[in-house]
Amino acid sequence: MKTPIDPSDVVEVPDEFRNDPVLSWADSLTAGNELRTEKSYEFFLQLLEKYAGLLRRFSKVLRISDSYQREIKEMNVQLNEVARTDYLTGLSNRRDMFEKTSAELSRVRRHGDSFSLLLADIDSFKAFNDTYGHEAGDEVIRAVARSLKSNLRMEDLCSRWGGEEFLIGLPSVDADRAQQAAEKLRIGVESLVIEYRGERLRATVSVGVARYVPGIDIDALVRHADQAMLQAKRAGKNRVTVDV
Amino acid sequence: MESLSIKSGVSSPSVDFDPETGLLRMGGESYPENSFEFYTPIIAWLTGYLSDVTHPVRFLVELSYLNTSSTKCMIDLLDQLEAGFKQGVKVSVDWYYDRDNERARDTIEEFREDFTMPFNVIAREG
Repeated sequence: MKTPIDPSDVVEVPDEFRNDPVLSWADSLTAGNELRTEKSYEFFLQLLEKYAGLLRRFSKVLRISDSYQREIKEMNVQLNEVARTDYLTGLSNRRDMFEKTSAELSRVRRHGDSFSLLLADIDSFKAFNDTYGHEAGDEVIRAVARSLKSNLRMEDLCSRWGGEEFLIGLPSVDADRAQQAAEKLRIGVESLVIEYRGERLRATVSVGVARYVPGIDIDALVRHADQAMLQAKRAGKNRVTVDV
Repeated sequence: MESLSIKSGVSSPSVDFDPETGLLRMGGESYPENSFEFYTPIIAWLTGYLSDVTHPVRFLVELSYLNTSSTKCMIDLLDQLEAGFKQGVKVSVDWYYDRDNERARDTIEEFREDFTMPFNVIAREG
């Protein structure tokens, strides 16, 4: 049943809404008919409120979901970090070192740059464990790791490769300079005084140096560094030997 | 009313709703293959329960992760509790998180927003 429009019932549209597209749409729906009254706007406002509520709900779900996603992302970063770090020393672990060295070698291959790999092994390490216990051994490993790290450049790679073995990569460094760098590392460790439960422990390292030559792969390069290191051990320890 | 009990799965949370004590517990992680399928019976149970419960109802949540659709369902579930609360049921929500995870606290605070029923965000030793 049609009710005639009471002019006093027609709503004045506030200025700030006059150009709102949603209002134009509502106008087009109600234009020229008797629904265009205060009541129609009341109904329309309820409808808008309903959709606004749904939108609020939607954005709440998104915010919470984003929050969980951030949590997972952060956890992933931490896990990745843990998976690449040696627990005892905080250095790169074997896996991380392998990946970084591989990447470095492919760079060197492309650009014809030089690269050297050092293997440093703590001399007579077993004696620390046997004499003072495993905790002392751990402390020695940590102290040596800190010393090595502090005597390297930012761009050098430094990892705990095995029990008392450290593998170190020197980008853009040829054999001569690698030998100098290795000597610096050796002296650094030699001059360490490692405090452990009132004892003052001293450690030394034997270092093998291998340089990148075209065609060599990472396994062979590590093998060369290892052979040089063993040579240094045989020659009396606490010294640097370059693989030839 | 029958209690509602669902064992946790690889990707679905555990549900333990006891109509006698009014203790409704959910725990674990929630990213089921089909969240709506998983939550629909839970919300239906809750709606029925709240319509004639006479004693206090405590919703105890120990969920550490919800995927997007589970989040939507959880808000629907909380809506039911809020509706019950507004009709006079003594509803409370206790949501626990790992003390070491401050981010989790913020996330639960997001859930709490807009609700008027008692909603506690509680730290627990990890």
